[in-house]
Amino acid sequence: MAHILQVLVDAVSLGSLFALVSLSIGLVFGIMRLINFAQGDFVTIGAYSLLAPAAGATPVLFLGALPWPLMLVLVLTVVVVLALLTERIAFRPLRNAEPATLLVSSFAVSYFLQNLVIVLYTSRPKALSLGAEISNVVNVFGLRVAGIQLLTIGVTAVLLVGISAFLRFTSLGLQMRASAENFRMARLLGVRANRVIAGAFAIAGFLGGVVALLLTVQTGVVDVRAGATLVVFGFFATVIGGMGSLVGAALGGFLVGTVSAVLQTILPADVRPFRDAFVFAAVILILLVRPRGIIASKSKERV
Amino acid sequence: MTEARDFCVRQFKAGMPVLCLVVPLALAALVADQYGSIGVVRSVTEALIKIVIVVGLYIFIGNSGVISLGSTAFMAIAAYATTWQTCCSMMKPMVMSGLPEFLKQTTVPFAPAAGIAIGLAGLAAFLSGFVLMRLSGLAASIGTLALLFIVNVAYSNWDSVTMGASSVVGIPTYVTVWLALAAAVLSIVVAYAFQTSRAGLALRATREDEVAAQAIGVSIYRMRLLAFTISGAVLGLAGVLHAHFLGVLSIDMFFMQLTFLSISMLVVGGMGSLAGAVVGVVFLSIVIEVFRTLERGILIGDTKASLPAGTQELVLAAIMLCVLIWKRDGIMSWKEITWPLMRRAPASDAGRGAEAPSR
Amino acid sequence: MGMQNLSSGGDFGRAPSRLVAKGVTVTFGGITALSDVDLELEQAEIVGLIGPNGAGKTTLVNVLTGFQSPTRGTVELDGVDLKGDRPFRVAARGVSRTFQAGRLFKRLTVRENLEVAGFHTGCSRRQARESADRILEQMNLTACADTIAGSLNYGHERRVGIGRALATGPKFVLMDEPASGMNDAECEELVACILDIPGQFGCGVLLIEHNMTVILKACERIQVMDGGRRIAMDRPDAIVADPRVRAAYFGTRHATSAGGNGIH
Repeated sequence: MAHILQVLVDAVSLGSLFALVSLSIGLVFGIMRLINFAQGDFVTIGAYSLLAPAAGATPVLFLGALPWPLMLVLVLTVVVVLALLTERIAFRPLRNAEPATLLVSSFAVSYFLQNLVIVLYTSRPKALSLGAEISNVVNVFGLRVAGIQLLTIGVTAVLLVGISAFLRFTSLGLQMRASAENFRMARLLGVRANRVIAGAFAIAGFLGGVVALLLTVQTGVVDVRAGATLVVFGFFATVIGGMGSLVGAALGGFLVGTVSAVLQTILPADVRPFRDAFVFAAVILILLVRPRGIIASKSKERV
Repeated sequence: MTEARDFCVRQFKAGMPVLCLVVPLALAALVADQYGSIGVVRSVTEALIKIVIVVGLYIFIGNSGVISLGSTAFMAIAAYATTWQTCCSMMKPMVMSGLPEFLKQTTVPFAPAAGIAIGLAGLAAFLSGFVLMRLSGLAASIGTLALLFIVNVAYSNWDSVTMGASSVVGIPTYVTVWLALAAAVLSIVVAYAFQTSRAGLALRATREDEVAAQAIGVSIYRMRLLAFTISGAVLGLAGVLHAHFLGVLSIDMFFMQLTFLSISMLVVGGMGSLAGAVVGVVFLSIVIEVFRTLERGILIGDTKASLPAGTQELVLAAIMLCVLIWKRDGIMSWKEITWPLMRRAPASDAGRGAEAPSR
Repeated sequence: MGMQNLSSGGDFGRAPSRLVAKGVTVTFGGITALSDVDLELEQAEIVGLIGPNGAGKTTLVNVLTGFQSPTRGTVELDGVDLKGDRPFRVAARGVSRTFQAGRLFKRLTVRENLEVAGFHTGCSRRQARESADRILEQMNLTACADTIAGSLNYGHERRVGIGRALATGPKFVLMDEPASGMNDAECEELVACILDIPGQFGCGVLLIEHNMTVILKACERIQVMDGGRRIAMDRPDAIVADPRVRAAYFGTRHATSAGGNGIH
């Protein structure tokens, strides 16, 4: 019994990270029809901003050296600014371009940011012990849970509630939801495109920064490749959850995380390295059964 | 007599878009072979192999409008298939102990091995397309990406057969610049034959408007499956070339890096036309070469000036973005290259030019 | 099959085809778009389908062409049940349509738009091209055969849409508001074109329209729909005088007032 709960905690914790990533991706995709591969790099740069650019294996702290409230604010600011900059410079000139063009441009931005990190920091992963106290194992109801997992779940819950409230009750939030469902119509009704898109990217950047910090604390490593893995999983999660549905995106994230964690446990040891293949096969299966995602978006093409 | 001549002239005009691509490539190969250093020949060969890749992608992506993110999986399948047949007869039983006995003992000659590998890639494309082409455009793209990941995970972990994440070395390197050129020409011809066929036109109709295409009797599924399979086979050819050019093989060669590069070459060149595919490869290959050289350092007087490592990628990404911002539909923007007057006919014109058909 | 019709102007040796819809009901969510609707079409007939907006006309066409599966009811072509057939199969069987929004293949030429429509018959590309050229000639569109469809003016775009539907060699062509946006002269041309179709192409026509002039001039019978139901089916003069039809368009207060041509 305790084992199952343990797995559940792992699943929800992993799912939370994916949910945050897929929510960012879903938000931008819903409005701009742009699959933002650079989301992973927002996370990466958020993590790397803790360090000063240096080639050595031992990391030199930059923002990571500051007291944690200040560090938190600065890291999040860095990523939000980065997100807004990429929107302004790379994506705004290509608004309304064909999906293929948007896709490649997002690739290009991601490639650029990744290599920028490599030029400044080299591609070697760097160990970084951040908030070591939080990583300690905590005893909760007889379960041994890593404090960071609790933090991740807690932070995600708070953020999801906060973002839902924002989307529900604020004017900009309503505009973003309308845009995510039907951007053209929203604009015709007076929604200001630039504002809505900037808002979406700001949120995406914010969430990216949060994920960066949680991930760094959890893994103790700053790695340029981690972002790419996250964005792919997050991307799959968004699609199976339902493009154009923000609830679906978050749900998809939780689903992917859960399936991944559960498979890790139930698969026999020699098959375990292939775990991810099963996750991807599951993605294909879900798409076959529900091509528009589990929470199908309401817009059906009129004949 | 004049009828025969007219026929020849018409066929010549119809094939013009292919010739306009093939002749410059042949010239480039010739010049490199005659006057270029080994480095130059290698670069040109590499570019020609990339042309096979990107043209293979174009056959599906350009005609259907569906972006397959996973087609490099078929390159991997073919590359490993040809390696299993032709490589390392001494080492195979030890490092690839999981292979079936007959493969461990035999070494197949190059041509049949390539043929089998390409057939295998085509079959894999057909089987995966059978499932994936049922999905709508975006879902199909995701599905192909998932496929790529499945192949990557499977091959990375199947140590006994693929040597897992480590590289297989010692693959016979028989690919010359001329073989690469022949393959590039073949892929261009296949692509052109497909796009001017009924299936190609029908597929492009589905790209323009799925609903209307269905309403006139086109089965979107069948057309996409056909293109996906042909595309898979051409990518299989590219995979074979890749393995026998580098002599080294590892599963990570056929993953995100290559996918990103090849799709970018296609879209930057213009995914709507065959010329776009080729031009995209040529353009970006030149850019990459220039910056590769600059990174190595050029002699200015007595000093060696060089760019820091990694700038090549930064500049490449920046250039790609700039080209797309300037020309949203890519450099060729849906047009093929024809002669006379270097007038670019629209990609849909099947190379007949703007003349009225004979009655 | 279809290709013969194009050159011989219709094969009247066989019994004419019939497209029959019976008891078609379509509900989605809580909305009933169609309720127990019948429709009969015979090859070489021109039938009109009119009704106020939201009456369910386009939904009925979607059902007849396979884009919408009915919740209840049947659609039969020459006795063969079309239920469950995907749109491309229905088109291959001989029911084709035009769209309110045109929906041409914008980056293809006009000729190619028609060529593609001929492929389902299994003919070669050259045969399809020749047949496309023939249709273009019959519709006076030869001048724009090589034009990219996306650059056509509105009137031509509509005619090419009709030509494309005819290029499938159909037994029935369902036209969804072909006259919308046309001026009087263009409407005259359209009427002449439609009247020619049974003779030249040997197929039946179902014409959805709001433009009553076109309907009255072109159709032999008219079916009227309102609120998802069929409320009348008769000859044009009877329909115009029918109080139920007036009620549907003007509301019950005006049901009995005189004056026939006010319906647009």
